[in-house]
Amino acid sequence: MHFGYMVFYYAFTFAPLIILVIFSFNDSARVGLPFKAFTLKWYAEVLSDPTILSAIANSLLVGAVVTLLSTPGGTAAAFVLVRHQSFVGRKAFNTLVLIPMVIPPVIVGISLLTFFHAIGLELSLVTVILAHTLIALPFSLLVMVARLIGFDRSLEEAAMDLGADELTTFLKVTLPLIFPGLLAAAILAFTISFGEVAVAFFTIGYQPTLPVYIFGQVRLPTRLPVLTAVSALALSFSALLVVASEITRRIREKK
Amino acid sequence: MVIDVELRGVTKRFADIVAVDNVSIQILKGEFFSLLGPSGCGKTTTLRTIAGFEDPSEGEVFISGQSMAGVPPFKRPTNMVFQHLALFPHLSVEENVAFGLKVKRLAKQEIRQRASKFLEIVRLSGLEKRKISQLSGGQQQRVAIARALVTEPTVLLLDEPLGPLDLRLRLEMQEELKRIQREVGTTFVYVTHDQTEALSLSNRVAVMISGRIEQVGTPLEVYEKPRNHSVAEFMGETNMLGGRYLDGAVEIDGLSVRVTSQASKGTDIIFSIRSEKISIGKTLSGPDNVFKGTVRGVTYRGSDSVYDVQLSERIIIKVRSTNLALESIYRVGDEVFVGWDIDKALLISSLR
Repeated sequence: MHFGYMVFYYAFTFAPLIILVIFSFNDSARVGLPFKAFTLKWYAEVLSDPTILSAIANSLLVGAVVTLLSTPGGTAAAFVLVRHQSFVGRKAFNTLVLIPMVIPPVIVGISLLTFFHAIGLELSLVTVILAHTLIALPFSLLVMVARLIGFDRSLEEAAMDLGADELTTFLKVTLPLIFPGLLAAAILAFTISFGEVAVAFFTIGYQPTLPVYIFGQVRLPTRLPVLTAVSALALSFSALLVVASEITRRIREKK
Repeated sequence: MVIDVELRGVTKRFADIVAVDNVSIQILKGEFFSLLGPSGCGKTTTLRTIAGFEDPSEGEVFISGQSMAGVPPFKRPTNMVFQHLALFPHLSVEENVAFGLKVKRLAKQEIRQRASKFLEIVRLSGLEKRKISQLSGGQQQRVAIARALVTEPTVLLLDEPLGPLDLRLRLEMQEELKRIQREVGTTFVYVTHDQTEALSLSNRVAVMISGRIEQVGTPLEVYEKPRNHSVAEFMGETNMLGGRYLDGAVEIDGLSVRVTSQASKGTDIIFSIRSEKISIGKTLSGPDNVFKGTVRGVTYRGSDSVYDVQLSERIIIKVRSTNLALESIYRVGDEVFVGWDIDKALLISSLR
């Protein structure tokens, strides 16, 4: 019974992805059945197309910077929320920090576009980074809040009791114990930024990120096979990221 | 006699709750000192004040004669064995024990030597590389004790560390604690709600009730000579009887109970008599006070039984009796005699 459900679940979630990967190897200018012959030419085209390569580079850069900003940012906010039970405006803070999660991306995009115009900031990768950090922050926050709520503070007291000052306690006890949470928050932030198209669409300058580029090309039928190849690459990259983090986690746990 | 820890008029308030109320105690060097009291009496807060995790609202803590005001926990010569142990889950047994030495930046060789010495004291040699989660409850206790002792603190603070263990393991760890304390000679301040534990482990016991220290003394003193009503009531299973004193006896609900008392005629007094000081039998002669009663309740506990014996309409007393033979185990409804000598009853001077 549960085996059948598992098969159904996997099929439902993974079938479209598998089909995308299959067609990226199809030697046909038209995406669809029948499968004519195996080819790597779409991949070769991706690798020789400078605009695609620069879009990938832009996405990686934006994703990395967003990760570096939102992980510590969200963590700091999570510490404030979990550890400081009472301060003026705490309840409001509690709710307000999560609001960006529920605003439709299109509205976030338009409001940011208006805002950047208003303060005279020219659209570029910098504005995309700011926009994506805004989107990723509440997610990093939520992941870290979950981690910190389960954190036994007597462990920190024990460290201090044994002679460790605040900094040593943080480095030797707190940090190693929240590390799995940090890793999860970082990967989540990167993936959110790497796949985000709506807000990026409004805040991008002349250098598109990969999703914005794909979004722009998808209406040209001749470009579709190349897009399947680049999408398959992006997909493998994201999957690799998740697998790598899971392996790191398991190794740490075994240690 | 050297005083290791001294609390002078320590009060700790949380919002409008007084957790610790004007506590003054002196704990001697090398002593096994217990803070005994019911849950929520402020004993853990007192311990945390000594460790530096709480600042007293009033009063001061001295360790080895030095005021601890403003001294953070990591600069105090105290270490604590936490209630839930607080062992570092990401470190091995050896790394847990070595933690305090590492942050003190001792040489690697010395860290290793000292850690292995203390692992030997707590009898965990050979388990150095284990993870904490691979240890049994008793072994985890031992790691926590070794970790706290390895830096050779002036005072070891223990916050009900044996709470989560089952009875047999508790008894075993109690013996171990005594042995370890004898071996290292460190001053132990032990917090517990378990009387038996406090009485059997300690050199001296402080009975703490609702934030106040009610009595400090040897186990024998606090049990046999409770200073007031609260201590008498908290310690052991006790019967509180009260009435008007007249000519060497107290009139209680129609019974005339003989007592030794310096009370003057006509005053109301309360006295306490512990359940195990009362004799029970089908026939009974000898004790100064002997009353006839009916068994209303029986709690059979293997080695002994506790009976609720009704002596008069309003008086039911608890009697504990060793189960010497099957014939001396009574049942509900049995007619029995109970009795005690007058010197077994304790006059509680302070009337409530």
